Amino acid sequence: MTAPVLSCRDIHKSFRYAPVSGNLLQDRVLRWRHLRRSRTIVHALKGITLALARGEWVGLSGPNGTGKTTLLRILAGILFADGGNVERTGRLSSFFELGVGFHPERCAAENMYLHGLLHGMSSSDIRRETGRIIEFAGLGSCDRMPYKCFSTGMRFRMGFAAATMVDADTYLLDEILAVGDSAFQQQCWDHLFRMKASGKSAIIVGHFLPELQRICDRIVFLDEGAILSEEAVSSGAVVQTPHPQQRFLRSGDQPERAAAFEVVSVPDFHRTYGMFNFSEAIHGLTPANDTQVILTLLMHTRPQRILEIGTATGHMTANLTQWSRDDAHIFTIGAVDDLGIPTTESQRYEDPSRGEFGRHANAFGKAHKVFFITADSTQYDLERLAPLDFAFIDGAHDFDHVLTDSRSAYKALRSGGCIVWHDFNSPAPWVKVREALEAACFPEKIHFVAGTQVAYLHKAAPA
Amino acid sequence: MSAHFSFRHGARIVFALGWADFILKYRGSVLGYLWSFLGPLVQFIVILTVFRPFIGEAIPQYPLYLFLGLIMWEHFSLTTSACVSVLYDKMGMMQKVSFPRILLPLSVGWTHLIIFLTRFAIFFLFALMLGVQPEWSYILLFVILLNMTLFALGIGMGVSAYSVRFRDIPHLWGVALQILFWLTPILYPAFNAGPVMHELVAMLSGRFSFTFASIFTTFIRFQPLSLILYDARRITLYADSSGVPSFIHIVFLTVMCSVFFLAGAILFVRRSRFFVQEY
Repeated sequence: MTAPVLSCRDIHKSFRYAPVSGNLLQDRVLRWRHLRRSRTIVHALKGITLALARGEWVGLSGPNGTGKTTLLRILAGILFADGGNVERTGRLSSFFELGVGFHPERCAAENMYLHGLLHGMSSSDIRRETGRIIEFAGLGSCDRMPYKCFSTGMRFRMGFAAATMVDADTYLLDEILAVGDSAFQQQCWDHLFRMKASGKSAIIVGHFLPELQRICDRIVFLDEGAILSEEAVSSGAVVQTPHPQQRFLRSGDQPERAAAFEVVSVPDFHRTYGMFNFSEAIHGLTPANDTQVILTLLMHTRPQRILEIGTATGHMTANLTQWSRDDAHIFTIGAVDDLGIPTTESQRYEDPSRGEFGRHANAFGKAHKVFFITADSTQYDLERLAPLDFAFIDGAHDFDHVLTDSRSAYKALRSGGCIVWHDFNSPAPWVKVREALEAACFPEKIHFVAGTQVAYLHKAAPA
Repeated sequence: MSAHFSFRHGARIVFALGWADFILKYRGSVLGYLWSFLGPLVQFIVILTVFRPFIGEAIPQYPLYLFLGLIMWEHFSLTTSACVSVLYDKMGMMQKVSFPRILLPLSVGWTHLIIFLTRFAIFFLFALMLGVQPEWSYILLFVILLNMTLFALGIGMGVSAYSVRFRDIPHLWGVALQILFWLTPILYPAFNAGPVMHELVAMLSGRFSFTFASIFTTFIRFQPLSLILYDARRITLYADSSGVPSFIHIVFLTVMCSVFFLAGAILFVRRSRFFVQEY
C-alpha cells in the first residue's frame, strides 16, 4: 500500500443556521429573542476518516445533504474543519462546478487563461493547453466569440475541458463526470480513463452509482455525515452492487441477493479477445468505442447464427454483416412506428418509420445475410431462431423488455455462445439494462467493459 | 491553502485578474472608459464653481489642487468600497475554487491603481497646460502613490474582513466615506504651515489642548490620507514654496502606510477562512 496522497482523519464540521437572517443589525435588534431561540446547529460531518492512495479513484455517494460536498470542500481547503486534520501531498485540483469564473464577456482563450491561473497553472502551460482544449471542446470557429454566445452544450464542453486540463496529482470532482451529448460523453470518459491510467488520483462525488462504478476503484457511501459503507470496484474482482432501494442500508440490515458483474478494463479486454481494425464501421446511436468492443466479440466468436434485437436504422446490422462469416445469418428484430407497440416517450426515437427501418443495413453491400423481423421482441418466440451463436441486445431499454429479451435470447443461445448488451450503465434514467440483468440472475458472470456501455456473457455448457 | 500558489504566481493572478476587470468594467457601454472620467469631472466642475469664490483666492492653482485631491480621494473611496464588494462579486469563485483569498483585494487595488494612473495622466497634462514645470522631485511621487495604494488596501481589507459576517458594514462604510470626505483637505486648504514632523513634535510636546476643535483639527491635519494628499500636492504643484518631503518624512509615511496594509492583510487572511460558510 503506497502512502496516501490525500488523507483526512476524524473530520468534524458543524454549521449554525438561523431561520431568520441575523446578518443585518436591524434583524439582530428587532428579532434577537427569536434568533437566539431558533438557532440550530447542523452536524454536517461526524468523524470522517478517509485516505486516497496514489493512482486510486474513490467515489463518494449518498443522498442529498449527507455532507459529500462539505467533505470535498474541506479536503480542497475551501472550508475548514471544526476538528480533525487533512494531509495533502502533491498538487491538488478541485472542481465544484464547470466553468466557475468564466466571464460572459470574455472569449474562450481569455476565460481559460484566468481559469488556469486560479487553478495554479503557469502561463506557459495554459497557452500550451488552450489550443488543445478548444479542439477537445469542439468550439471550432466560435473560440473568439464571447462566452455568453456559447450554447449550453459548448459551455459544458469547455468547462469540462478546462477542468481536466489542470495538471495535478489529485483531483476532487463534485458531480463532474461525462457531460454534453453522447459523443462528447464518450470523449469525457476516454479522457477520465486516460487520467486514471497516467497515475492520477481522484475523489469523485456523484449520485449516479453506475457512473462512479465505471471509473472508481472504491465507493464510499455517506449518510448523515458519517461513512455508512465502502465497496471495492477493482478490475477483475466481483462487485457486489446493492439494489438501488437497498443502497443505503443501516448497519445490521442484510442486503438482498445481488447479481455478480466483473469489470474488465479495455486493455485486459483486448489482451483476451484481440485487437481489430474497425475504422470503417458505421455509427448510429452506438459510440465508436462501444462498437469496437461489440465487433471484437463478434470476431472472436465467429458466429454463424446471429441475433440482433433493436434494428433501428440498421447501422449495427450493417457492421454485423461486414465483420461476420460469409455464411452467417443475421436475424434482426426491431419495431417500426406503425406497429402500435406500447413504447415510452423517451424511447420513441428507437422506433423508426417503415421507410427508415434498417435503411443502412446494406452499407457494405451485404444485406443478403440479413433476415429483417418487424415485431415487438418480447412477443417474438426466439426459440424459432435457435440455436443462436451470438446475440446483440440493444432494443427497448425498459426493465421488462431487457429482462424478457435477455432471458429469451439466453434460452435460444447454444453453449459457448455470447450475448452482448449495449447501454449497460447508461446515465439515461429510463435505461434499466443493469437492473434487468441483476434480476435475470444468469448462472454465468456478466462482464462489463470499463469505459464503455457494453456488457457480455459467455454461456457455459450445462453441468 | 493551496501549496502551489507561490508569490510569483499570486502576483501573476493579481495582475491578470485586475487587468481583466479593468478591461471588462466598461466593455459594452457606448462611452466605455470615458465613464471613469465623467463622475469625477462633474464633481470637479460643481465643486470648482461653488467653492472657488470662497477658497479659490487663498489657494494658488486651485483647479489643479482640487482635481488632484478629487482623483486621489476617488481612488481611496473606490478601492476600499471595491474591497468589500469583490467578496460578493466573486462569491461563486470563492465558494468553488481554492486559492489565497487575499489575491482578490489585491487585484482590486491593481484595477483601481490603473484607473488612477490614467486620471493622473490627465491631471499631468492639465498641469503642463497651466504652466507647471516638472521637477526631478516628481520621482518621489512613485513612493507617494505606493503609500496611497498600501493605505487604501489596508483599510479596504480591514473593512471587508468582517463585511460578510456583518452585512451592515458595507452600508456603514458608505456613510463613513461621506464623513471622511469632509475630514480630508480635498477642496479646502491643508493646515500644515511647516514640516509635518515639526508640527507633530510640537503638538506632542505639550502645546496640544484636548478640546473638540483641537482633536478635530489634528485629525484633519495628521490622518494618513491628509498627509498623502499634502505630499502629492507639494511635489507636483508647490515644490518651490512648500519644499519636497524630507527623507525622514517619506520613511515615516511609508512605515505608517505599511503598518495599515499589514494590519489589514493579517486581519483579512485570518478572517478569510470563514468567508465561505458565512455567505
